[in-house]
This record gives sequence, C-alpha cells and structure tokens, in this order.
Amino acid sequence: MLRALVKGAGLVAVARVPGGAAAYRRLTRDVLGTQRGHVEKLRRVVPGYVEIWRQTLERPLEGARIWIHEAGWTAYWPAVCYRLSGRAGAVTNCEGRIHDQYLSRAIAGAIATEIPNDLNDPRRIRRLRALLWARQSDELFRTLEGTLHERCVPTNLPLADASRDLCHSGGVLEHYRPDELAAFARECRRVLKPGAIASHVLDHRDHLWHADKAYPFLGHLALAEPLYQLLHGHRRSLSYHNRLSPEEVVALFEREGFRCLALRRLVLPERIYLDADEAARRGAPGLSRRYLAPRHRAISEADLRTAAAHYLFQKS
Amino acid sequence: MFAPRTNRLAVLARDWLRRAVPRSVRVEWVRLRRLPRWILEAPLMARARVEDPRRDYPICLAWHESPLQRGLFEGETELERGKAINVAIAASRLDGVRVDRFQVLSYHHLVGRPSRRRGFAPGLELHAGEPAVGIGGGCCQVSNMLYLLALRGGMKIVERHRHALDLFPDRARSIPFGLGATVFYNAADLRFENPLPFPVLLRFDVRDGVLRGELRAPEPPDFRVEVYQEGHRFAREPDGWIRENWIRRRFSDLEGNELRDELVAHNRCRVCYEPTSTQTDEESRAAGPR
Repeated sequence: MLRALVKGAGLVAVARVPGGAAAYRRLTRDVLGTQRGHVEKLRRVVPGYVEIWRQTLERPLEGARIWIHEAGWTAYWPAVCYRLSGRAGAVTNCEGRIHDQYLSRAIAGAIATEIPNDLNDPRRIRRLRALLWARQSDELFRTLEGTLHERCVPTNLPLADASRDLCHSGGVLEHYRPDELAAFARECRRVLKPGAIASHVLDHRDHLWHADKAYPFLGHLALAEPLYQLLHGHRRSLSYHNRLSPEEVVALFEREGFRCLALRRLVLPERIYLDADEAARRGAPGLSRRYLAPRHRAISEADLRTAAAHYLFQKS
Repeated sequence: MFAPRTNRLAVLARDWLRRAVPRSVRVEWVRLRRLPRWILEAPLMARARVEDPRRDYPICLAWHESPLQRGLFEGETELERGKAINVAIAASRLDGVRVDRFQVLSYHHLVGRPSRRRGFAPGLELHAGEPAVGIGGGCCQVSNMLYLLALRGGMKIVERHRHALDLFPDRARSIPFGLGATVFYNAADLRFENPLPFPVLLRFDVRDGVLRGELRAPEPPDFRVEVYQEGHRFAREPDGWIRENWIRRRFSDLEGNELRDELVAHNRCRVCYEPTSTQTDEESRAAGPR
C-alpha cells in the first residue's frame, strides 16, 4: 500500500515540474527499458484477440486493413498484423514513439505468437526473421508495407475515411478525457468501413495497483472528482485516468454510432475474461462500496469487479 | 537573415571554446554528460560470466585471431609492450561474458576506464584523427576483434565508431578493410545486441603473442553469415589519400537461400602512407555501393 502511495506522490510531483513528464518517460522507456515485458504480455493475450476478431469480423483477416492505436513503444503490433493479414497495417499513437531498442524483441515476440494454423504462413515468418537484425523500425514498416503516424492528435487522425476493416487499441483509451474519448470514437467511426470492428481494451484499474498489488485495484474511485482533477487532471499528468466504468464506455461508443457486440471483463484474482453476470459472481471487488466517491456510488456490481475490459464494437 | 548569423556565431563560439579549453577538460565534460545514463543502464548490460564454457557452449559461431605485434612501428618497443599489456587486460575483462537473448553488450561497461591505477600502460592511439600516445592505447585491437566476432556471429550492432585514420599499409590482410571499431571511454562505445534465440558467450585469450577471440553458442544457428566489402578504393583528394569501402553482411538459411543483405558500415578515412600503384590501380576500379 505504501509503495503505491509513494509512487503516486512521485508521479504527481514529477509531472508538475516543467519537462518532468518527458524526462520520466525518457528515463523509464529509453534508459531503463521498462517496456521489455510489454511484448511478452501481448504475446500471451493476442491469440485470444485473434480468435474473437475472426468470429466477429465479416471478412477474413487475410488481406484485411488493420489499424492499431497504441501508446507506442514497441513494434510488436505491425509485425503481428503482417502475420495475420499480410500487411503491417497502420499504427497511430499519440504520446509515445516506437523505440528501436525493443525492435528485435518485438519481432521475435510476433514470430512466437501462437496464431491459428490456417493463418500461419511460413513465408511471412521467414520475412520477419530477416528483420530481427533491423536497426530501425522504419525498415520494418517499409518492408512490411505499413504506415506509422506518431504523436497524432486523437481527435484528428491522419487516416483516410472508411479505409480500415479493424481497429484495435490496448491500454490507451482510459487515459483520454471523456470529451477526447468521444472525439476519438467519432474519428474511429470515420476511419472504419461500414460493418468494421473496433476492438478496444481498457484497463480500468488504478495504475498504482501495477506497482503494488496490495493497493485496491479501483482505488482511484475513492477520490472525489475535484480532488482527482487537482492531483491528476492537469495537462502533463503522468497518472491521469478517466475513471469511466465499463457501462459508461459502452454508452459513449453507442452515442457515437457503434453497436456493442461483446464486452469481456477481466476479473481478479483469477485473471480470466468473463461476461457481466459471471464477473459479478466470481470477481473480487476493486474497492469496498463504502469508500466510493459520490460520482461512482451507482456503479454496478459487475463494473465494481472489472479490472479491465475488452470491448468489441461494430460500426453500424 | 537571422538564422545563418546565429549559426555562424555558434560555430565561432564552439571553435573558440575548442581552442580555449584544454582537451582533457573537454573530454571529461563529454564523459560527465554521458555518466548519468551510463550508471542507470549498467544493470541492463551483459555482465554475467559462465562457469563452464566448453560444456555449455560447444558451438563456435565465429572466431578470429590476430598477432599483437606486427612490427609496424619499429623502435617503439615501449609502446608495443604497453599495447600487449592493455590488450591482455581488456581481453581478460571480456573473456567468459555471457550475452543473454536481447541483452546488449557494451565494451566500456565491461573493460572500464583505462587508467594507470587499473593496470593499463601507455600505447599508441588516435586523438582527433592524429596518432598519439595515451593510457590504454592499443585496446582497439580487442574492440576490432569484438566487432568482427559480433558481425560474423549474427549479432545486431547497436553502436560502433569507425577509425578516422588508416595508419599502416596492409600486410597479409585476411579480412576487409574497415572491419574495426574505435573506442574511447566512455564517449565512443562498441555495443551489440543478441537477437538470437539463445545466449552467446565471449571467449578471449592472449597466448604466444596472439589474440584469439571466439563467440560461442549452446546450439547451432539456423543461418549463415557472410561479411564482405563493396566499392573498396583509394582516392587522392586535395589533402591526401583517402580509403573508402562499404561493409555488407549477408544472412542465408542452411539451404543457402538469402534471408537478408544489409549495409553494415560505410568507411572513409585518411591514409597515413603512400598507397602502392598496384593498390590504387586495381582497387580504385571497384564499383560504388549497391
């Protein structure tokens, strides 16, 4: 508990120093290489995503035009998109950039990702293997016919209208303010083709929980809105979380013209994805109800037990 | 109008600083600037040593050997002795180091700062493109070999600096020109990453006046590497001869199908000797890079 609070206080303090947030990201991502574990984590979860995409997408993944909206850091996604569809697709990110130091790791991770046999093309693996020695991610995008758009504005993305069959994001949208998220959903609707799928994974946990598992995973819901905005809501914040519940996220996307096809909830401590009813039965609550701030008191039992959620929306 | 004047002023200021501030102070400033990053990244660098290399790493991915004394600078026996000491120290620091998968090996993180206190002796080295005597001089032979082993062993080069001068004419050269890496603590480092699916081991040994290096692996790789040069030439320029080439590396699978052909380095440096007419005639005909 103390560890999480110390980290939280540190992040709040560092972000308030001019240049502190950029220095923090540079130190952690660039020098300390904190994103090394990211590829391994993706390698574990992506087979599940692929299975769901195949079930919901109205066209085969082969040849599909995939768009990944990521926080940045590793070139895992373009490599895995190439394995799935034959093209690296488009990658957009708003804050980070792809670091070349993770390039070999990302490509090896994409090669090692278990994807269904009928999508497994040895020629693609062979082409990816040759990129293990690439020094810059530009080479990967060039070779695999992908595009990278870094430092984009989430409300104005440089992608053509109705040009993508599938959009995926992971661990990004929970950091957008509600108005930004709504604008991103509108952009998503503009960029996707009719009937295309938007697959978004939001980590609803207070991110201090990742530093200290003794901390309640929805601990941030205890803070009243003015206090939360004061601590984390400023422009350069390193710890901002929009604190939207899964039901609020669904409602927001539905307002922007999407139809929710599925909502899979990650519950703890089992770390498995379940639907709402099962989540309410099996998941541990992220915070005792009596500590919830007034704005969050009406949260449903399933939402109170949801650590992360995988949303599948279809452009209607 | 304003921007060029600012740049000119900046250049003048830099030149003035270069003349006014002694070289040793400038060098320490460069080292100091890199120090915080240096300290933070130290735990991530390859450092672990292997107890039983022969048993656990039976496959030799690459090897090379080179004599310590080539008899090139006659009468400078003191410098040659110093070089032999320096090479032996650097080789012992690198010997037995394991580089795990995706880990980076840094020459300076392993060999450290060459100083008299740490046993290094004066030897011949290059300062700002000029030959000079310095503590730890001659260690480049170890970094050159490390670079060659890394290239041949299929490592990914992360940082490498080329030599600015070609000091001596070729004598029984067995590898292409420019397959070397200069190092200068801690500003110019040699670093490589291991992208292979297994750890690799470095072996360095100085015996009978010969430096021998090996890159070993626990299992055979499923590719072959060929390092070759293109466009090698001598050319006369207004301030003397220059030597130039492009180093490339070709990966192929065990059936001989090409996996990758990459440009590794472009070398271009001043030549400190008069090339023979044979060299200039034959080699200047080589084509440029692909």
